[in-house]
Amino acid sequence: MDIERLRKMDPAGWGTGLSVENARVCWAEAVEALEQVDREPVEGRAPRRVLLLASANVFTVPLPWMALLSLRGVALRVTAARGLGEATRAMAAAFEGVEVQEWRGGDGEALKRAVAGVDAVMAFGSGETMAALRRQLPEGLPLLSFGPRYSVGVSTLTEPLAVEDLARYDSRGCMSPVGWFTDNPDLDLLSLTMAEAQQKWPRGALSEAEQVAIRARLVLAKMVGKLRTGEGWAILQLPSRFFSPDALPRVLQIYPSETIGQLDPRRMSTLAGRGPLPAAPRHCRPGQMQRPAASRWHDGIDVLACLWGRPFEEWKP
Amino acid sequence: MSPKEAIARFISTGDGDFEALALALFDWQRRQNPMLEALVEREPEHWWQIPAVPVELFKDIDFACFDLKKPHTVFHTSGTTVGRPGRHHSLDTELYDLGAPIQLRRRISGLPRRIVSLCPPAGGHSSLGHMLALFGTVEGYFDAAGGVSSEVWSALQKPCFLATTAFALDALFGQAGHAILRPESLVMVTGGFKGRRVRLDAPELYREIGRRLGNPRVVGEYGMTELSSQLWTDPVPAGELPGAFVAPPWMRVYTVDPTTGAALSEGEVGQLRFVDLANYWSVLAIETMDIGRVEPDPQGDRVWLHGRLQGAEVRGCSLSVEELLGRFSETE
Repeated sequence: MDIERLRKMDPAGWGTGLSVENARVCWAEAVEALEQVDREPVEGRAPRRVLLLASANVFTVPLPWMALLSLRGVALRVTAARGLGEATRAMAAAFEGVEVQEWRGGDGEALKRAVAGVDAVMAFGSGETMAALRRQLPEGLPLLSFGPRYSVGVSTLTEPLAVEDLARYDSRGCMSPVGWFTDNPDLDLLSLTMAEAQQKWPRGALSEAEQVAIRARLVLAKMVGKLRTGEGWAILQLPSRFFSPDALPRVLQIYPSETIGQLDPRRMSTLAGRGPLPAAPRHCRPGQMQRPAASRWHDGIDVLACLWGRPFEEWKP
Repeated sequence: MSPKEAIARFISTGDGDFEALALALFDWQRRQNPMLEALVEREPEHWWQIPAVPVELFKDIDFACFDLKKPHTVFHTSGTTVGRPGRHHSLDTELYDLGAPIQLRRRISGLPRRIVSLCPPAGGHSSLGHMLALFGTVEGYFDAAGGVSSEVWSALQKPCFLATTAFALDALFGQAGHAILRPESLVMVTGGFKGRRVRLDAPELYREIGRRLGNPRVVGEYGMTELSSQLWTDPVPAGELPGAFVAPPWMRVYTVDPTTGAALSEGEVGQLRFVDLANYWSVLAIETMDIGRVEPDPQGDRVWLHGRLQGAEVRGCSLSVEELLGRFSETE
């Protein structure tokens, strides 16, 4: 792993969809996490080659897996998500044994080429996606499937660091907070922080669907809650029953603290907060949600142990 | 005369002014439902300035301008999308029941009374089933599991009005069978595929009608659970694709910029909004997830559908089905 080479890379031209400032911060933090990459030995029989099906939205997703597998001498094939071929190739060049395959999805032939010679497949996606993938994969080929999860934060007092968690990757990571649970939030303070974040790390381009979804959510807040907006951001304060597991770029959705009791920890990825927290696969302090360690664990599962042969259950909706 | 009576008269006879009726109805609705009042940023002076409610919010909120504890009708959206269904409440269906047959007869003549339906039945929560029951005697071949009963092929050996969703028609053509319907018969196709995988795409589905069902007339219907009025295309011969959907005079359509929600000029492609006077008990103005172009006409706005905005489900580090299957609308 050539960490210096990674450090010198500039994601500005990679077409990440983020603003240059945001992409650079996210990249620098993802590379920094590799300095503490998990090097512990794994019990079991190592696979020879693993396939990682990467998605388009979070450009650094392949990076820790490249490190974790490359360090253990396991070959990794990564499918480059649409628009991220250059980024994925650049990352791969810093590791031994990582190859990149251009990927546009499509017929079973594309997948057949991707899985040729691999011992296991890793993928993250919706239940429908995982089911479709399972149907297309050769029988018996292990699939480490990670279904949809969401992350939330909880705090007794108003938590300005929630804004950082929301700003990184424009809220598109599954570790980005889809909601923040707190009572009596200081909306003026949060508005100020959202505006500062927008200045420091401007929001990137949004799809039409995202903009339509944001507008719909703003209408909801006007009708049943409180709303603050500025250029590139919004804060919604909504009753618990309107909790949604869908993240919207730079939209901070605040619910009463009691909302946490309604959530199913099995659908949760990360829970941010200070002090004792309810069960979740990953806990962190506010401001660290989208800065995970380069760890072998994902959604509470020791991924490397599973790749090395530990039994696991495929995702079921 | 109450606003509802005035709207009923407008639907029946055309007497009245759409804009005046729309503004009066919105004024009444906002007084009955304070949530609608919260949407008013400036007083609407024209029908297209009436605040529109995004159709997605029917999943979150029970919109009603009456006490929901009273017995009433509720239509649900179909379960083809993830999560809770949308719910459309009406204290009564008088305006729906009045308008639907009038609009159908305005667009299509010589309708067979015998309806062979591949749509959900009336009496449940399906607005489509409710609508079909207004048009004639319905023989249902709907299979709740998503398939189509093979017995439908024998039902198609006599003149009929075949009412089907695009998805059910695709399933029908997946079976062996053939019919020779003549032009006095009519095939109504409604609904898109809502992301579900089908064997045939839309143009091929319409071509297959000519190959498998003979020579009936074919018509497209556009409706949704959250609306109480429907749009119909003009009939076309079997094998051809129907054209623009035409709204009834008591419904007006316009487009907005999906990114800002600002109204677009006439003829510009954008996100479709409907102002439906028959949506008396719920919400007058609805914003859909559909993209299209509108040619305004007080006798019936003409709407060309261009597709559907995909939901914002694609998120996080998740691979979407679209990515897996390579289904992207944008050019790369």
